[in-house]
Amino acid sequence: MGRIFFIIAFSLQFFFIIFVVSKIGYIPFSNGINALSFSGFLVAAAYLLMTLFSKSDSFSFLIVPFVAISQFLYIFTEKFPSKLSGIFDSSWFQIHVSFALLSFSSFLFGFIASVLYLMLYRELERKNFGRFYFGLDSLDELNKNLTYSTLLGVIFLIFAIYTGHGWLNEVKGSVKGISTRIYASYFTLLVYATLLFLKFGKRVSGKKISLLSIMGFFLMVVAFAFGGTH
Amino acid sequence: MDKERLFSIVFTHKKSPIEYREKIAIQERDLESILKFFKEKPFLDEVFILSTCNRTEFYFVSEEREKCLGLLKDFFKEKAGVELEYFEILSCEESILHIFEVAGGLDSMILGEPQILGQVKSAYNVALKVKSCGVILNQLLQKTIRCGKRVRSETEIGFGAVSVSFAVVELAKKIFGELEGKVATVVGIGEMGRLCVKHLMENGVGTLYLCNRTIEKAVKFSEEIGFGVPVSMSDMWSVLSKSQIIIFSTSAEGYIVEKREFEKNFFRNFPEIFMADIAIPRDVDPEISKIDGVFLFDIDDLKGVVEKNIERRRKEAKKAHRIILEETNKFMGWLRGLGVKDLVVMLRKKFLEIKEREIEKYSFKSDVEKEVAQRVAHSLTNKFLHYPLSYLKKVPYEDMPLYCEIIKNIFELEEDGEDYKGGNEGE
Repeated sequence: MGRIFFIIAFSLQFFFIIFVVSKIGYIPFSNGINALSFSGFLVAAAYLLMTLFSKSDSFSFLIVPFVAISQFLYIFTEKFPSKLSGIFDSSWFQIHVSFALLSFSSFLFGFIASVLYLMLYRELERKNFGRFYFGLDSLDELNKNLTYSTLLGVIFLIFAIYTGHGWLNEVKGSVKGISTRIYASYFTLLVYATLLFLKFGKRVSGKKISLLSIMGFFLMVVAFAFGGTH
Repeated sequence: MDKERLFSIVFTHKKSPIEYREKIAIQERDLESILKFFKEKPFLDEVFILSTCNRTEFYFVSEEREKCLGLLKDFFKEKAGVELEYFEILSCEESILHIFEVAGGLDSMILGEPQILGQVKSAYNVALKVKSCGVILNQLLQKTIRCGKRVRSETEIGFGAVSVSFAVVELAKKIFGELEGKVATVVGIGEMGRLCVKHLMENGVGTLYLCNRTIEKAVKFSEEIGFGVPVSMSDMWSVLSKSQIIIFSTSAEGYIVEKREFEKNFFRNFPEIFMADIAIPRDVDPEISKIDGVFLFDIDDLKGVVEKNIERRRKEAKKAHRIILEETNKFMGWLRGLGVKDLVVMLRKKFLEIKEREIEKYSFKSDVEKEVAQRVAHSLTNKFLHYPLSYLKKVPYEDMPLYCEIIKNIFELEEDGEDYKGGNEGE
């Protein structure tokens, strides 16, 4: 039932964004709340896609409140914000940001799934049947969530890198050189591609792949944290 | 006139010993004829019988409670050769509350067990076939089924395993999700082993190896259930290596799986292995649980799961009780409304007659004048009726006959032919 409401709310928001974009000609994320609301929408999109493949929504309890709050805040901001200026006034940039957010959301879900996997694993191992035992589905489902979110994250990241390059070509001359964030993106792609190789090529799974996924996520965060700005 | 026409006589596992319950139990095949037998009695307006292994319950709508009790006494004497004992007579409200609790699984031996709702439905279907239920019991049983469904959908009273064999499956599902297509081995085909096999099959396990000291027993059991591959103990290690779910339930004196042996003979094909040791003394060396990815649970661990689930169901029972009370109040409200219905009709009829008589006494200059007078009179009639009728709807069900009698006397209400029964007839 909850899932149906989530899909309905997501569809309504989707049509609303289409309406806004058709009216103003660009994605509405030039102010803070708008950006947060749009991020919330993309988080919901990434989550729905992941659950579509994994057939499991083990951590809706973490995602739904964030999405709901981000959409609720949208009420208090202007519906048609002004255009981004300078080098950010580009369709390539808008698509690039959307894919980057989808990719980040997917990796975040992979991270959450891994943490929950390890928590449940620990409870089962210690025979301490508590909150995670009763609240979560199963190790297998969390593992599926991790696999599909990583796979989707990598696909979105490839698109984000591609559109990022498109944007870079467009604004050539306006920027001084290649941003270190681009290297961070390639590094993240390498980390998660390795994870997928280990999962599908070397059949590494369970606890090991969860630990690797957590490490991968931290590496990504560190890479972007020290990657500077565009 | 009896105060309450709806009442029940119940024999439940709480008051009646099993020796008595098994004597008075009514088999499904006999239910139809027994209902017909009760229905024929002139003092019985409606009857419903629910009989399961934990209870035999009779719900009656009648003004002759003593006669019903006498009838039941004779019935049991004749049918089962027993005296009427270990029973409870429940009043109208108690009966409603009780049947709602029964359907919700709150009165079951295992709190929240799911079969009872289905049993209520089948018993009601038989009653519908025989037409032994009238307005009150039909409404009561429909609400009972609705209440049972509400309890199960709005609470988690039926969640979690409450038996060791089912806990084995629950724990395996916590690791593998669905068990469909999984490979399992059950070592030892004793009573517990067989129960586990049953649950594994219900959950769609793909391949099942039945390993037993005497292979003949495994072959026989496999033929009986039409599933499973019988394996002798000498081939145990080869099938264990192929399995994700392994259940030990032998009567061996010591460990049949030592850690050293396990490390030497077990060729791991899966990252996670689930092992349940439900044997006493234990079959598996507990040191094996230290191996990464091997989840080994012994009987105490499984009992721990069961206890947690029971505790959880108990908490849910409080929520369920709130739903049941809410539904009971609604039903009592409906009964009150039913009680007041005939009286309302009579009272309204009387007032309208007075109104018409008074209007006829006057001569009006025009039709318009007459219409205005009629409207005023009609409006006044409704206003005068509003307060007593609203009050009557709040009167407790058991006091309704008294109130009806007083109002009838005050307003000199007359019934059309049939006796007035405090309003429980017809909708």
